Amino acid sequence: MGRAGAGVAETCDDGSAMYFNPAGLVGETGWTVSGGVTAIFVGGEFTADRTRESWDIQNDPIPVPHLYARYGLNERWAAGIGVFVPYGLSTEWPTGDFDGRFLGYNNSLQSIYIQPTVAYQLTDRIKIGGGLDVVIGAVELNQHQDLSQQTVPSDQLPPGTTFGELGIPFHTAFADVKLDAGGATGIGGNFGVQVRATDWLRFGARYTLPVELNYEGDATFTQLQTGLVLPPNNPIQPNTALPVDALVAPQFEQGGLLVDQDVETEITMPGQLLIGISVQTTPRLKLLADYQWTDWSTFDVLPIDFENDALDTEQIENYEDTHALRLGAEYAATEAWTARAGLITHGAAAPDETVTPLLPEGYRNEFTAGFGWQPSPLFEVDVAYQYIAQNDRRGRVRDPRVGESDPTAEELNSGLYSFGAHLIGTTLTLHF
Amino acid sequence: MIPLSSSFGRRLVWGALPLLLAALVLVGCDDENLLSERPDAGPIFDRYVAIGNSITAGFQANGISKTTQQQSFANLLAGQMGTEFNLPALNNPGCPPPLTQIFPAPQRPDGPPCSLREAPAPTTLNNVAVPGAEVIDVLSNTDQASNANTLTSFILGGRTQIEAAREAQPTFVTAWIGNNDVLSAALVGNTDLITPVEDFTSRYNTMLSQLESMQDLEGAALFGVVDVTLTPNLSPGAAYAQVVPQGQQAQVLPPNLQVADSCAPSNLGGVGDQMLVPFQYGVALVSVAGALFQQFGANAPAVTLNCAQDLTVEEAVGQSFGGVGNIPPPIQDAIRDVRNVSVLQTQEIATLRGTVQAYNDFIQQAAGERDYAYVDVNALFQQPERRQQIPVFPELFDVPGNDFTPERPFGPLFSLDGVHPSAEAHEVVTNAAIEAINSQYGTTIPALNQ
Repeated sequence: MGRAGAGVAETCDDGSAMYFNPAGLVGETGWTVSGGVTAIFVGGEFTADRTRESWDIQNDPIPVPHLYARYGLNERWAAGIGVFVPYGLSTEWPTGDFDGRFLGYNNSLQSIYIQPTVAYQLTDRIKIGGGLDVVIGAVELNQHQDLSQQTVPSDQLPPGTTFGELGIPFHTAFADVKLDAGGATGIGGNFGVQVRATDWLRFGARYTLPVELNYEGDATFTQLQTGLVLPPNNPIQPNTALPVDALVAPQFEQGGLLVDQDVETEITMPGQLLIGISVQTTPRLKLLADYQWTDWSTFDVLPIDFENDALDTEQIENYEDTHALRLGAEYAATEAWTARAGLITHGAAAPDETVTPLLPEGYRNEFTAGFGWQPSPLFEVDVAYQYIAQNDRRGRVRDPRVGESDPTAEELNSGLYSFGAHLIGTTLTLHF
Repeated sequence: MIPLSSSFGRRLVWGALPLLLAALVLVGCDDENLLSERPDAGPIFDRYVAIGNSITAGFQANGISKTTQQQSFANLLAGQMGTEFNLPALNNPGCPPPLTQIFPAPQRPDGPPCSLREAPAPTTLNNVAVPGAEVIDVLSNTDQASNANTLTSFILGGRTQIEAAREAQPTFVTAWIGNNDVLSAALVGNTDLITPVEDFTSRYNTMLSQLESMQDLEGAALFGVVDVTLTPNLSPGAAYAQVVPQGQQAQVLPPNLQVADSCAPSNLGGVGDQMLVPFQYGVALVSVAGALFQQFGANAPAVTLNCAQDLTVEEAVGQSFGGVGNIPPPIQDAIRDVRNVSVLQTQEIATLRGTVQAYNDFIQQAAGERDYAYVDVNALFQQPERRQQIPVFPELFDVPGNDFTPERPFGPLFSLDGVHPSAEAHEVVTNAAIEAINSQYGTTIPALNQ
């Protein structure tokens, strides 16, 4: 992490090559075992156009572990197994009056990759490697439901009449929904090649296959009290006042639409292609550069398939492929101490109309620094810091409304997302 | 200097190239300029909310639709402020659809009696005014004195006006409320229906307290209550004395409709210029007379407008049959909805005007104490050039030498119900409001080009 994740041409010797480029696993003979954790401190806010009021992300620090074990059989063959988390997100927003709670106020996506790997020194200058990824995924989404967009359960009105057409205000929370789906498994792969062009110049490439994950879980519905009462002379019950909460309560009871039920969804973890170079500019200074393409365009829709088909939704995401440039530097200050630094510039995957509280993602620059300490050939400790500075980006806190066809991003977006993160990671590596 | 052709030089180039490339693409991060622009007329108008009744809601010609809602002064004012203003838009033709004709029989466009609210629902609501609302209705939908109706649900969805206003977090509010606290009394000729001044002021004070508790509120404009006796829906009996013979001559009014001598002006010995006849009262007498004439021809009993007596429609019609108890059932059915409507006598008119004056004294003082703008609507419509645009009797048929037309029987400033302002009048009110607001707050809202 200290050198911005750049290193597809020349990976670290702590076993993390299993992810960054499996070809880099070939090298020392014997065992290398490393493990560590990265703590992610996410910060951000949404500022509404209309009021200039801001709501902050409320995430607790997120620990993300990694574990690698490799064995160098000889100078040509190496194998290992790694457990890492290349994709994941967690966003937690306030539930009070933040409009974005109708899209999701407490959301997380985890994808744990378990990758047995093998690598081979093909020629003096070329290494290859590959691994099979077994991916385990879980997803959780919590959101409020908007009464104004629901159909009125009354035969006094034309079929399909929504509460909004009766005057119920937009974003009236009447239900809390929790979608909790885990245990999704998928199979992928991670392949790489490294070429030593000269003593000081190396090239590398890596391709990670996309992995389709099908999640199955539970949807839990809880009624929220709106407190709204339609006064007498209302169109449903003209003679007396009508409490709206009583009108919708049967929806939460046995036989109703909003009862606890099974839910399924499907998300594809995108493929990645990286190419890079490594330049040993001096005996002590190494510079690295990687270009990364990520196939985010596969994330075009997010289907949510309920047991009761009437609730099914399909959120349009229309993500776009991203391009990133990673630049890293590593300076061997002494035999024991190594300093690292780097920067990343990364394009946005989410199009203008899909910047939401679930992931208010956008163009970002990331800055890294770190050091390694190896007091003996048997073990080393690496510590790194990364700051993600994302450009402010306009986004939305609502979905298209009933009766609103194909709204543009300009029509949907109603404020500004600021987003950033601090990451602190440490890894302990043992060689034996 | 290190030669680039040297080994180290080549290494440096290979290593530095990506760094140069990165330097080109690294850009700044924070940009609050991406937030939407503030209103042209100033940040005080960031979020404007209109509280009120039918006029503010955009009710015209005894109906309301998206078209008439857009013609409301509140919508026009927001446009001049340059601020976002969302309406509770009611699908055309309306709820109920505005009248397209009032004479000889009222007509509305084809369609359901009430089309629903338009979808999609607005993300925020700026015009929270509800037709029929009195001051109490701003505060409560369920109080015994409240007047909640179907439109209360359609517009507010179970909230009160003050609750809906609070949700919109207004920085500026207009409140034109109180007209209905006297209007029903005028339209049915019964001053018992007037909201007592002490109740009015108490409720109005509560509303102001609620407004003041809204954290973001920076200003407001309070509108005076309309002198409802000046609306063309109410015509002096003397006007009937003049117009009825003309209508009979033009064969648009039945010959058995009579106007008593008491309806002559005071200089001719009558009281016709000191009392007022609600339009629906006159229409009821015309309808009954027409029905009788159609049935009995020249032998039809006369139906008489008597200006000296405070008679209800039922009592006036009853005189044609020798008593209320003798009114034939079909005629009873025809006048059922208006049977208790009566004329307004001199004292009742004085009571109405005195009440409006008391209301307005209070509102103007309340505005002054809070540094709010005050809009004097009565002064606006009492200007001579506007008085001339308000007929003393609706132009129901083409009267020679009269400037008004049957298409706009209540003149250019009033819609087909003779009570609610026309689109043209809303423009006049808009500019009066702009003038008052600019004067109070030193703002520069541009006037509407009329």
